[in-house]
Amino acid sequence: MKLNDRFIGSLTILGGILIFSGTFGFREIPGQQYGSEFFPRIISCFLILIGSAQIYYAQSAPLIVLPEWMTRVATLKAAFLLFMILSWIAFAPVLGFFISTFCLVFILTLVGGGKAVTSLIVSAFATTILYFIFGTLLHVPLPFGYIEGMLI
Amino acid sequence: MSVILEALQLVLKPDVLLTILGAAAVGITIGAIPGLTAVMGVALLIPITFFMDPVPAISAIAALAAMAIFAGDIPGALLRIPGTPASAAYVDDAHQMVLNGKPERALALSMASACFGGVLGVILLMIAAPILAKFATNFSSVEYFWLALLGLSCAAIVSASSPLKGLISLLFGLWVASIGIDEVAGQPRFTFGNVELMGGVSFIPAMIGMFAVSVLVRNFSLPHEARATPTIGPIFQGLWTTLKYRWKNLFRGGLFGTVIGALPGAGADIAAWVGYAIAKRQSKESEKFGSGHDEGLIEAGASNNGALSGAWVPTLVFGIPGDSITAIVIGVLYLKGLEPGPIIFVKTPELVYAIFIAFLIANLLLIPLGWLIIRFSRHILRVPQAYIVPIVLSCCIVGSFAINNTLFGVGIMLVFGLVGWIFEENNIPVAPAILGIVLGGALEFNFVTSMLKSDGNLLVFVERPIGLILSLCVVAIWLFPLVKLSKSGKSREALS
Repeated sequence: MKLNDRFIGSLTILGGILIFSGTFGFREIPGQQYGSEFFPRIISCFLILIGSAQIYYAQSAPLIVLPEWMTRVATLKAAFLLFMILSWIAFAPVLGFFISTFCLVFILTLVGGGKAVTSLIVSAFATTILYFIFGTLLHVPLPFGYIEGMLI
Repeated sequence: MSVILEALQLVLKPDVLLTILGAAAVGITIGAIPGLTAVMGVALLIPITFFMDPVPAISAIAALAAMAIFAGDIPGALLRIPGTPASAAYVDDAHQMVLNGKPERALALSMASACFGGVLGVILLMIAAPILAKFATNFSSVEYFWLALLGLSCAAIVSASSPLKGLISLLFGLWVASIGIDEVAGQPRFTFGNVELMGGVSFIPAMIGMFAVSVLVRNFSLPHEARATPTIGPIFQGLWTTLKYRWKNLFRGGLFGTVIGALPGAGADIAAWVGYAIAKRQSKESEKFGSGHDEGLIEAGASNNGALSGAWVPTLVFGIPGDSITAIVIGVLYLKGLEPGPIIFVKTPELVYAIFIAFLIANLLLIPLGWLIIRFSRHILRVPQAYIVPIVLSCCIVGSFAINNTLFGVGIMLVFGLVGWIFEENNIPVAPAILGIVLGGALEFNFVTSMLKSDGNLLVFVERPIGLILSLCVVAIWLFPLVKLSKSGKSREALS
């Protein structure tokens, strides 16, 4: 997703303004000239300055240009990958690590063009290895579910 | 001497050596897969090193990075797809050698020059770092402020193709670093009432998102193409003769690479391009460059790994990262309760030397592991992205989760993955943002501390000679794009 340089500059200025306005509630250190708001304000001023320069030096171009690969099915694939991460965040606490990670890898390999049987083997293997490294060796309390209950 | 013996004892333990070997094997595999970079490999390794002692943790990072940078040459040579950005400088020569029917020669030269450059870099690092550290013990918050600003300015202005976009990335990183409770006043900033943000944005999930997830999104979206790879012949045949004949390129590449790597904010990518350019300028056969000639390949290959070692000089001595990988290292050192800087040489010198020794071992491992990966490269390059992307993504998710054992880390990874992807799509470099996140806290702390000590007198920043010199360096770097602009006369192209 290629953004016009002027658009990037505008977003930068907007970010600077938002950061600056966000510093108004910060309390000062008694007797000191420089408190919590000082550094973020410098950042916001520079953002506004750099954003303005970006707009000034920008070359004219459409606001947003989708690259060739994004105008095809590939766009959906990219969005789907991000959706799968969100799904993992939503379902891992309910389904547990094993089922949610297995589903994530299996579905993504299939969508990516993998063969069903190979995807099944790869997903099971990857999930088990990750569980072994993080859950068993490193004692990370991975999201607990039905399968994890059976393993204990 | 006793320090070196202690360091040897720390490194020559079976668990540390196994960790180095394991990390090296992972690094060489990651580097050999097109689309997966050395920084991404290091980012994925961090959640595991989180649970290790400092020596194996840092050794593992050093080993993985050294291997991945070399292994990036393999897809570069065989498929003309540089595995890491550092390999791009000499990809044409390497690929042309393959097309000329000499794939083993291209890969063997890459392997040997990477090993030589890396070893030379470590030796220079071992000599220079303690001397510089002794000098740096006199530094105050003022000098550290300027050093941090110097590193950030180099990364944003000099290294980036567009200085304005480099600065946008840097300012984004600095803002992210300011999220959480302010160290000086205890004021929560930009937390939006979220308790998880009180401690700041967790560095590791953010880094995994920006370096790994953004790459995965792009790789997953691209159509998969079948890859044909050539058969590899005997790897070491004629290698020694060529290296003896090209010894000048080897030494010069390693030396310049180390020096460039030691500049804060520069890195292996820049070193490789500079190495290639120097080789071409000094060569009597410059017209052959780009058509399968070995000089550029050898010199840039040695620069690559030399820079990787050199980047550890500012990292360990001043706490200022030399490149993206050492930015991650600084984060890890802080996580381990170790503060990089001259004090680490005084408090725990054995640890510093242990890191040097581990780095040396990692670079020496390049030959046996390099030989293995070259033999197996044809098979690795055939593995479709359909299987690689989901596996790496699951590693990213679990790694982000494991840092704080919360799903919030995975959310951070997702958000920063999106930001990283948008940055890359718009030629906004990611590295300045990461350096900003790592150094933002130190920059603000040293600035505010200096101001508090001087009762708000700004002259404190230029009163001491080193502070003055560093401030002039920073000003020179900030003026760099303007000078470039006035010379080129094309203001829009130069800045944007």
